[in-house]
This record gives sequence, structure tokens and C-alpha cells, in this order.
Amino acid sequence: MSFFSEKRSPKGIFTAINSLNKFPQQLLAKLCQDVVDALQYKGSVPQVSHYQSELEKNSIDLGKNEVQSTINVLFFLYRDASRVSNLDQKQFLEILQKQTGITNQAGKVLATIWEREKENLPSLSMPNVGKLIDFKWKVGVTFSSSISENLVTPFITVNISVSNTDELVQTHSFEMSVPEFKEFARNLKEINQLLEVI
Amino acid sequence: MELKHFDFFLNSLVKKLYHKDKSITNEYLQEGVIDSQLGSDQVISLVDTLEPILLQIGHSDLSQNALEKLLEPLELRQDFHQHFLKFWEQQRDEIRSIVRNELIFNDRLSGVSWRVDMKTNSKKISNINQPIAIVELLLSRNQQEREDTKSIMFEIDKTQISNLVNQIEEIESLLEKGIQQKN
Repeated sequence: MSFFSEKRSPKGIFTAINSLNKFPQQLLAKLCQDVVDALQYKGSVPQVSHYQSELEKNSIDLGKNEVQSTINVLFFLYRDASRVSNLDQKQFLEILQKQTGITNQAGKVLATIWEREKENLPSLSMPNVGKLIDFKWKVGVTFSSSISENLVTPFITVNISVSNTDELVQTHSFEMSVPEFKEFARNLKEINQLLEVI
Repeated sequence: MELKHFDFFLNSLVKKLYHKDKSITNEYLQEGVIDSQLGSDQVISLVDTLEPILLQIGHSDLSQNALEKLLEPLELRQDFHQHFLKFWEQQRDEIRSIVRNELIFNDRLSGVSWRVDMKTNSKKISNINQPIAIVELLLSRNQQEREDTKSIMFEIDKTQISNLVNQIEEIESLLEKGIQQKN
């Protein structure tokens, strides 16, 4: 479902934008930035409780669910926008204004952040995400080298094949030292746990 | 020469030899010990003595005992001798990491990031609302003082990740066995 290119609105977007409209300008800008940072893995997902208390300081009373919906809608909008090629600030704002009940002021805040960050978000565009076709590995122990004599150390070499949307298969190979492998393993196990739970 | 000067030499030379810091020249070292009584000849001589040792202990991942043996013929002052041993104990892990990474000639894994999504668009009804993970691997290669990074992204479902983790566990137990044998 694409909002910016197909103009299809997900359920609940009006209510969420309604809540968003109540944010003071600066706080809204901070929330947008936090969301965009989280999308780039530069920061963690914005905390509902934090934003709730900031709103309270400004005498704005929004419930947990309402604040959560504003966070969700921003994630949705920025992710969706990053999948549309060449969406400029003006188009971003226009579509937002036509499709939702966003105020001028709030719309401008979202669009300004979009303009600033849109170059940093391209890796989220879906066409570049392939499917994992094959995963091969080997463990070798390097027992000598021109650089070091006695460094007897294992290296893990991985060969992964990924098919992209055009069905072309690309194979990539990389090596990891033991600590790097441990980090890789930790990440994969975390993903596994999450997928099992959902 | 005081202990702080000796420490300065050790730290600077590690920066030069392992962190490839080109600003560490003999002139830089001379300036760093300007409050000592060391002349430029002595600085050069000290560098010529310390560098081969620092290179050897790092590239061969030598133990404390091995370092002791290397230091014996130098007949260093007692506090310098002790300091060197302590210095090596602190630096060893990091230097070992640096040397190991130098041995990866092709692409190395420089970053892993991922997110879990619910599939909402799919031809198959059974796929909708199935969770999938999108993984991004950053591969880097040192090309003539520049680092080239490429990103590979792929999606992976429950079954695939489960298979992957099985293979990961196989590798882990292999490494465990290998380490045990070494010890």
C-alpha cells in the first residue's frame, strides 16, 4: 500500500495526524528527526512516555495510544516516501495536505525534515531488497602470513547468494574474525528469537 | 628520561605501527619529550630499539613471558621494564584485533543491521501478516587508504533464519573445539 505514489491511506491515518497536529512545532520537529534517525539505525525508536511528558509540559494532554499513533504514522510516512523516487519537498507537502487533515504548520515541519533527510534514506527503498538464496561458510585457520608469524587464528568465510527483484543472483563473499563472527551470530540469533515470538 | 616519557614513546609507537598514524614522526616524538633531557640522537636510538619489539610482540601475539625475554638484553630500568609489561597486557587484545583484521584481504563484515516487518503485500494470502526480517550487511574493503563499503540487503523468513542459526551454531561448536584443542 503506497501513500505517496498510489494515494492509498492506511486505516487510522486521519486520527493519527489529528494527534500530530496538536504537537508544538519544535517537539514535532524533534519527533520527526528521531523517527528518521531510527530508520537509519542511528538511534532507537522514540519513547512514548518521553513524548507524553514533553506534551504535558506544554499543557497538551494526549493518551499513550494517541502518542503511539503519531510515532507509527511518522514511521509509515517516511518509509513510504523513501520508496518513491524523486519525491521532492513540495510534492511531499502537497500530497500530505491533500490526503490527510494535517495543518499547514505541521505539514511544513514534516516536509522540512523530509527535504533534509531524503538523501539519507534511499537504502529503505524496497526494490533493493533481495531474497537470500544460499548461505555457504567455511572455517579456516590461518597459521602463517607475511604480516605475522605465529598468529594462529580462525577466520570464518561466508558466501551468500542474493536474488534481487529481477531474479538476478549475485554472490558475495566476506571474511570474519572470531569476534566479528560472534557479533554476526548474536544478531542472527536475535532475529530468530523475534521471528519465533511474533 | 622519566616514566611518563617512556609511556609516551610506547603509546605513540603503537599509534604509528598499528593505527597507521602518519603524524607520528621522530620530530613529533622529539617535541613530545621536550621537557626531558633527551637529544634527537637518543630519541632515534630509542625508537630503533622499541619499534622492532613492538612489531614482534604484536605480529606474533607474544605472551608476557616472551616479552620478558625480549626485554632482558635491554637491561631497562626496573620501573620501565614493569611498565612495558603492564602496557602490553593492556594493549594486547586490541593489537591482536588490528593485526587479525589486516589479514582479511578481501571483503570484511563491517556492519550488520536489520529490522523485522510484517509482510502486508503478497500474492499469497498465507504470506500476509507473516513476519520477515530485512537484513543489511555492510561489507568493507581497504583499498589504498580508502575504505570502500557496499551494502547487501535481503529478506529472510522464519524458516530461513532458523536454518541459518543452525549453521551458525555448527560454526560456533567448531570454533569451541578448535580453541579447546589449541589450549
